[in-house]
Amino acid sequence: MKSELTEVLDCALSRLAAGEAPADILAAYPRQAPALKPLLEAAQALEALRAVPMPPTQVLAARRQAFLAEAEQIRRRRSIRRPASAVSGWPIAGWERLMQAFGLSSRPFARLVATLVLAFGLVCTLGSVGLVAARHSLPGSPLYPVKLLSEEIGLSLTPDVTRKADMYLRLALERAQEMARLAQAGRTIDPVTLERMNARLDQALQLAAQLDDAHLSVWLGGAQRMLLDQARALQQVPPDAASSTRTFLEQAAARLEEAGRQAESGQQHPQRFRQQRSKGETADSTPPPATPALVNPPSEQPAPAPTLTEPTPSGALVTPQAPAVTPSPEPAGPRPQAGSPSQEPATAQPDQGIQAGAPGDEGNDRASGGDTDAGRASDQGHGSDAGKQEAGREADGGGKRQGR
Amino acid sequence: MAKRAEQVKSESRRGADIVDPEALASIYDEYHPLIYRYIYRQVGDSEAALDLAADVFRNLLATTRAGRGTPQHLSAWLYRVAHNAVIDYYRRQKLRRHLPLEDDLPAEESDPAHSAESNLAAAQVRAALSALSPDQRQVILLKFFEGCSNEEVAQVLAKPVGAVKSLQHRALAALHRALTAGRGRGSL
Repeated sequence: MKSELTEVLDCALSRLAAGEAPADILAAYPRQAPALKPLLEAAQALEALRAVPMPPTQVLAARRQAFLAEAEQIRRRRSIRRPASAVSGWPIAGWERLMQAFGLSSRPFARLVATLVLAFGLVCTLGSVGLVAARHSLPGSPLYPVKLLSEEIGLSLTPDVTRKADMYLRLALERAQEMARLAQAGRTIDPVTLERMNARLDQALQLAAQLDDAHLSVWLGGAQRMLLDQARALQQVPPDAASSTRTFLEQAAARLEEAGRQAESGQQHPQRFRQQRSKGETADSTPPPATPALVNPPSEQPAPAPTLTEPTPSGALVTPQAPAVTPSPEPAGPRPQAGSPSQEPATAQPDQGIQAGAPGDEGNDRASGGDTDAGRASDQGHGSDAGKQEAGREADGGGKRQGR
Repeated sequence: MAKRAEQVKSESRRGADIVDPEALASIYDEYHPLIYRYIYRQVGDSEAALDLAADVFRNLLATTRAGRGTPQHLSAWLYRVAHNAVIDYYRRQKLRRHLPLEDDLPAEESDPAHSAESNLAAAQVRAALSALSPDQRQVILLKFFEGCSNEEVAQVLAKPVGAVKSLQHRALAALHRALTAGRGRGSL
């Protein structure tokens, strides 16, 4: 009823404003007329306020002048405070126009939210661009630490063993590719890169040893192909490469080849692969050091192995000499190892050499953060002969003990 | 009405260039008389209305200077600020119930008796208006003197159109009661 009267009143007021007489209007709404009449009277009484005396023109002009002078002052203060507003102000002006277009200019909270969203988007975009740029960086680049950090974060966020092993292997191969790219660019290779590659490779194999037989076999099959492919790629040394670069590439290729052979052997004898990794773990449980020559236990490496910072340019170290070593069914016994004439008798055990290819080498890698010439020399004769490895495994304990 | 809508549309564009002296002068020339009258009808004092109108336009400058952007619907924004300025004025003049003297008489008014009568009537209506709630008063002023439609009033008050119609109904009823009571007091 009241809402009906409200609507009728609205229509009646429109007719009153159009000049219709109140009596005619009330006649048009006979049912609501009693309630409508006082309302129309009140509306008519308002006419007493219709006329508004305007102030004298001079007063109005003076007020106008004062207002415009104040605005001019503000405009000048602005231009003094921001002389380069034409250049630096366009993003702000654009942002303001955007706010106005979306009707947010008069809503402080909505403006704040929109600004925060924009800032978050900018941070994400710049961060993503930085990460992408860092992903292609090389050692020595300012973005390279970002790349390493992002890798560490990725590793720490990967709880699954298989995925983590994959990631370690991928990172080892990434380090190898970095060395190849550095060589192609004619830049020197930092020995730390080689150490990092070796450390990642060891971590990958160590984690893979925790897999069951079926998964281990599959993983090692894939790893073998990738390792050997990468080793072949590293052997394509640029002809104009410096001797130190050449040496590092050869060492890296040899290490990858050796790991590939371990992977091949591990597919056939997963249990032995695990034992080798566990022995390598117990042989030296210290984390990978930065400089291998400083941490190699003298008892295990009596011969001064060349450090990575002073590589020995020995092509023989990276050339597999498996053909020189014939698979021997001999279970144990000292036997001179091809390619390692200078080694101590314990590390020169033939079967120890096979084992060294796994645990001994691991011990070297883990302890030294990279393979030493001596360690590799002990590895080069064993090849991938399963029978020889079996024999070597049996003799390993004695050989190791003897070596120590 | 179409002209008015076009004005509202162009307001935001002009508002963006409010530091431009010409645009600012144009806005002032167009809206100052409206705001002055709107305020005067409530306060009934020319000097006070001029001061309050100046405050409204100073507020416009401050809003622009503070970087909060210029009002999107300038006329609605100006009426809203003027409305608040009048409320503040009443607050400052609180408990002051005397009717202001009309010192600025229309120039064409030549009959002193008629002038006094119309002044008295205006003062009575103004006193009755001051008895309304601020929203009711604003609806009355905007609809009856500024020629705003229900939709425009709703924009100024930030209320739905239905609420504006209800406010209008209650405002006229309250005004009638206040006028009747005022006449009763006057006749006593």
